[in-house]
This record gives sequence, structure tokens and C-alpha cells, in this order.
Amino acid sequence: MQRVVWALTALIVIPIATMRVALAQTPATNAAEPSAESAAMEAQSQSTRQVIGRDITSPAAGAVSGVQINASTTSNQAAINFGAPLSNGVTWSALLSSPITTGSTSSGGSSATNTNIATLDGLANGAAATFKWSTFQFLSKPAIGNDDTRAIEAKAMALCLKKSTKDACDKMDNAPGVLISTYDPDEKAAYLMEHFPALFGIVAYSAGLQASVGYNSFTYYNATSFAKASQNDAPRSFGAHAGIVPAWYSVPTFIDFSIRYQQAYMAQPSATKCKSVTSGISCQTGSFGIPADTDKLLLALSGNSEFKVFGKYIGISPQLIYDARNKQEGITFPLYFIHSMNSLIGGITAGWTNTAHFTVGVMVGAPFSYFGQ
Amino acid sequence: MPQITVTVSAGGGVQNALVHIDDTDVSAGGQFTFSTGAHSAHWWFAGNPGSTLTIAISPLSDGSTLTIPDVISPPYLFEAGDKNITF
Repeated sequence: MQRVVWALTALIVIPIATMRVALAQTPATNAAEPSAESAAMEAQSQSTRQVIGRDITSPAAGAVSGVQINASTTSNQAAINFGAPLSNGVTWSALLSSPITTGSTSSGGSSATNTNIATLDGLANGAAATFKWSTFQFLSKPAIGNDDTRAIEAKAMALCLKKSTKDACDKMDNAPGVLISTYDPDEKAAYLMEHFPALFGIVAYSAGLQASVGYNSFTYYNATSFAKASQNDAPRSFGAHAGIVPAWYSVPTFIDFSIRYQQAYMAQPSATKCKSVTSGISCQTGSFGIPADTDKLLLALSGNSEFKVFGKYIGISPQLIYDARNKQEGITFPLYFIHSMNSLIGGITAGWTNTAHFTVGVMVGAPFSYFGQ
Repeated sequence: MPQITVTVSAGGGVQNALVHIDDTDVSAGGQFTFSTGAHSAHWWFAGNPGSTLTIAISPLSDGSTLTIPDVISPPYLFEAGDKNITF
């Protein structure tokens, strides 16, 4: 059954991803310059690939749509993200997610389990829809170019002319940041520092709201009669987040704090019970009793950063999470190291909670995002 | 006083984008009036690595359209640029 679900998911996911590539790679109308310089086009192509699987958990990743699958030792989840920028740094997004499998009992019944990889998220067990609104603002007014930035641009242009044709370098002149990244990357942080001044050590901030509603279907057994029963529940969640971009120009980082209140439902722990019957002993394995109604107050602190290790970029998104209502804590540590077209598109994630303990998983089509939770 | 048309297209992952011509905020795009002669376009945007911003400004003094395709290069989350233009 699990293989069938995976196969069906792949049949849905791959055509959607392919369609998005085809749409995104349609050439833009360009009256003056029908073709950009190769490096700039390559960079644009990289960004196209990144659109395919935008971080679906991001509170501020509103401008994209994407598909993502996460699989771990305890749960598998697929999701689709829709979103769009509004104006003045405001974005919205909607996320539809669903587990690919649910916990199975030996009797063939199923029960939702609260084992999403070390997040303590009570809505990760079933289908859920999440709506997000977020704003991202520069703390100080960005600065126009000055003598220092013009000197950096001129140096990068000189390096370009040494390695490429004048025509190609002239075309890149329209995007000096790309020119510098391509031919003089060591100066890029200094270039950005001039354009994006910090205030109190902070370059920009982000804040937002989110609300979620889910759907869970539980199957359980009566503890005395062993009669099979089912119950459908609609867990709910709402919360807010606030984050900053510190003035660490050489190692860009986004630090975020979020708070979420959840009314979630948890299946009773799986157990095996036996009772005497006229023909002997009857045993049943599964979840006994109705799902527990559990309120959660989730406080999370995360930091996302991308940097080079042995000449290759890696991304990290560690998150500490604490359920203040139930005194539970957890940590996740996604590590992005799989590259495609020089973008980070997946990796592994490890986590721990004091309820599920250690979990390990893989991330497929999950590009690194600075603005993940 | 030429009427200038500006279009600003932010790709996926852009969190905020500002585009100015001289001191005029043209981030929302549309038609703007500028004096004949030399001006400067400035742009700043933030987002995930690979996020794109495309700015089109027309007509320039020679009747052409200036297209600026910019992208945030890994590992950064900002990009900026300046360009001298003549209407």
C-alpha cells in the first residue's frame, strides 16, 4: 500500500514540477536585449529550478509555488505551496499538505500518529491547509552606489574583460551584482554592505501571521469490547513570527522566532490488549480509546544560513521548539548539500524530541530557504 | 518631458524590491515623467538565492528599452545595482 501511495504521489508531483519548469523557462519579452549574458542566464535558470520546490514551511515564502516531499524514519509528507507577492514587501501564501502514509496497526486498521520529524507540530498527522501573511522590510533605507561600489564594479568589469568578450561583459553591465558574483566574488559582501546599511546590527526584519486548519481521521478500538470505531477531527492552529537579518554580510543568516497555538488531536499510544472469550483468549493490537484533545503552545527559534564548506555551498536550518503547554521540547537540524544547477535542492534532516526521540529523514525537492521556520 | 514606462517583475522568492529613478520610487511600475537628459536607475531587492528581479524602462533617448535582469547570487539574500540612463 505504501508503495502504491508513493507511486501515485510521484505521478502527480513530477508532471506538476515539469510543467512549472516549462512555464518558468518561457523567454521573457525583451525589446532591447533578446539574450542576456550567459552567466546571468545561468543564474536565472538556477532560480527557475529553485521555484519548483520552494520551502513549503516558510512563513514568508509567499512568492512561489512548489511541491515538496519529506520522508523520515517516522513520517512521510507531501505538500503544495501557492503564493504571490503583494506590494511593499508583503507576501501571502497558502500551503496544502498531507501525510503520504499513516501509522498502521497489525490488525489492518490505521491510526494517525503524532510523529512528524521532531517538530511537535500537532497538524502534521493529517491533511492541512495553512494560510500565511508576511512582511519583509529593510531596517535602513538602502543606499545608492558610491565610489566604493563603483570601484568594485570597475574591478569586476576588468576581470570580466580578461576572461570573456567585451560584448558579453557589456551585457552583464546591466546587472553589476551578477558581474561581481561571477568575476570577483570576494568583493560581493563589501558591495552589499555599501548598498544595505545596518541599523543596530540589523539589515532587515520580517514579521507575519499564519492560520491552519487540518483534518484527521482516527481509527481506534474500544478498550473493553474491542469494537472498532473511527473519529474525524479538525485540528486548528494560529500564530505569528518575527525575524531579523543580522549584518553578517559574509555569512548571510536569517533568525526567526515564532509562536503558535494549536488545538490538536493525538491518537492513543498503540498497545496490545487481550481478554477472555468463550473460545479462549482474544487479543487486539492498535490504539485504544478516543484521540486525546491536546492544546499546544509552540515556541520556536530558528536560524537559516548558507555558506561554503570545501568549496561547496551547504545550507543549514536548525530549529529549537518548545511546547509550553505540555513541557515538551525538540530540535531539528536540516542540512542541505545536494546541488542541482548550483542550487541546494535537498539533503538530510535529523531531529530529536523528548517524545519521539531521534529521527532522521531525507528531503527531496526541498530547496534551502532563508525564510523557513 | 518624456513619459517613461517602467515595469518591475519580481520572481519567486523575492521578499521585497525597491526601484528608484533618481529620487523617484518607481517600484510599483507604471508611467512616469522625467526631464530629458541623464538620470540614474537604482534597485535593491531581498529574497532567497536565485530570486530574480527584472526591470524594463522605456523609451530611452534612442527609443530602445532598457532591460535589467538581476538575480540574487548564492549564498546572499540581497542584491542591488545602479545604472546610468538617458531619456
